[in-house]
Amino acid sequence: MKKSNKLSFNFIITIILSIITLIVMFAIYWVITTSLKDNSDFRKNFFGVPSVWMFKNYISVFENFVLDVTRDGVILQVSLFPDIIVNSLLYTVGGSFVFTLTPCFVAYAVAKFDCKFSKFLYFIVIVTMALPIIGNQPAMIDLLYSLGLYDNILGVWLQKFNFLGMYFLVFYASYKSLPKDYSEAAYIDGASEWRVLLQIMFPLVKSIFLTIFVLHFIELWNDYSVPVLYLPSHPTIAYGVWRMSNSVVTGMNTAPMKMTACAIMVIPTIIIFLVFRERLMKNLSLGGLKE
Amino acid sequence: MKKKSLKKQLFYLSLVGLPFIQFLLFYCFVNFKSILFAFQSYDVVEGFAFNGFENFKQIFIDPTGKNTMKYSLQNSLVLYLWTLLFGTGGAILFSNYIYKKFFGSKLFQIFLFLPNIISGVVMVTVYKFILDQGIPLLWREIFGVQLEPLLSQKSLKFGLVLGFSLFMGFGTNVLMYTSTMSGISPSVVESAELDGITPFKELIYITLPMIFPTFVTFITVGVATIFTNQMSLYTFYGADVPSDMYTFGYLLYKEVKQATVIMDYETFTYMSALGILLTIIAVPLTLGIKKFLEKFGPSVD
Repeated sequence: MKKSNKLSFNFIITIILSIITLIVMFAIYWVITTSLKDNSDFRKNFFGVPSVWMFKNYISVFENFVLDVTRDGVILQVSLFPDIIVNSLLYTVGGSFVFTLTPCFVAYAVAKFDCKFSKFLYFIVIVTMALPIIGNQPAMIDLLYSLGLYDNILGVWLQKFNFLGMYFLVFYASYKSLPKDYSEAAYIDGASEWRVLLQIMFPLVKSIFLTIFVLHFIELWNDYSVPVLYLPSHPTIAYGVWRMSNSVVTGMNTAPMKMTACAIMVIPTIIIFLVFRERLMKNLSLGGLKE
Repeated sequence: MKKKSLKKQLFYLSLVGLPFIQFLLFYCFVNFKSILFAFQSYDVVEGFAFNGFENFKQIFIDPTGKNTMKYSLQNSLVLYLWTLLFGTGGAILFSNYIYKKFFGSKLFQIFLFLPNIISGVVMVTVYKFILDQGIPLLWREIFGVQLEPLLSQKSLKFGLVLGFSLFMGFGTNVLMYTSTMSGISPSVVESAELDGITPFKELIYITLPMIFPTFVTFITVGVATIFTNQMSLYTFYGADVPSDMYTFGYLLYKEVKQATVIMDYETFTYMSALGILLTIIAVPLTLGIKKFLEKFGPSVD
């Protein structure tokens, strides 16, 4: 009886997980095969493999994918390469770096220096995580506008230059768990605070830093909602693909072209995922276990 | 000695100084400004003026006559409960399966996480093609009847978008829960297994109580999503969502997005009032749920 219960419980979960896996596999298959069809082939052959493999779709998207944006009252055309790719890299790499480095350094200061201000900073992190503030985008846009940083990558980087959130706690816990022996030995040898941080402590948390950086990278690369709101005339690739997928007027408005753009967008994150899979799949926990 | 202490203070300041200024400006000032906006009106000629609770009244009056607020509240709650029940429940069951290393667990873990790697924009685009073109095509070939695109069918589209948002949400939750479960002492599990515990009982009586702090953190942090979750509506339909599908997250995003095109401060003040109102509801709700879970949650004993 017990064995049959065990089997049925696991069997149901296995079936559900298998269905999810098949759906994701199918989505990937469909993006790739559709991106390699021409439009008439796609109309006749929605689900199958391409009759003729149209690798030139990728070149075509790189050459012809343009978006109209309005900057300072003037309508401009931005192309996938280099404009949109450069915007994406600035937003993704720059944003992820700032967004990872800030909590990393502030968490070090709070973990190492046991003073009232450190306790206050820790308190701020906990309170802002637990007490959500909703709907402050108008005030944020107004502030950026007043500072001349609206629709400017610097403005978005400044927004990301904050230490609040879950990853502060991850860094804080990591620094707290490190033995003091290393840094104390370095101080005895006359090392400066910066040297201890950069050459001794930081290398000990660099694995966590890299994991968080990669998670931010993937999140920002895929995010179109922040660029749509805060960088309207500097489209990133996610913003571009979103505009393309909802557009009915561009010359690229065919399913194979849309899927080619989707594939171009997905390739970097898939590569990063494959490279860092092991790292991403472990070592991050939130809240912990009951003792 | 004094010099050393000064150097330490300078070092500390160099690490926390600028981020703290950023916090003052981008968190404290922005939220203060948001409160100010909520109690102001804006006129192109006369600028800002204090207008008491007028913006808040507007929220309840529903000037558009489309029941936007009613639908937003209704859909946001449905989305939250749906995500809580099936999203969190599913994530815990899947995490447990992966943690126990049952058949295919490594493969399933990868494919559960992949929707987080592949952009929501891409997944939505594929989903739209399949539901609006692929399935009607298959239907016609099998049954000889032409189906209307599924995402255009009034009776189906909310459910289909809801299902999509559930599907996309498993990845990070499963990652976090699996990671936490892997910290459970093997000796506890082994002794229970020797006593003949079933996998389901092990989940209920050992795993769940042990991961409860993670569960509480997720639930607590997630309360605000009642009012911020867009349910990917903007990705699906842009600004053209019928009012009966609105969530608060979508409403706030769409209105603010449209207002930025001409810097429409009138909409900004109205949306700020809505944001403040939702915050006033979300804060005690978050604290209440946290206290409730801590008081009535499972005991590890």
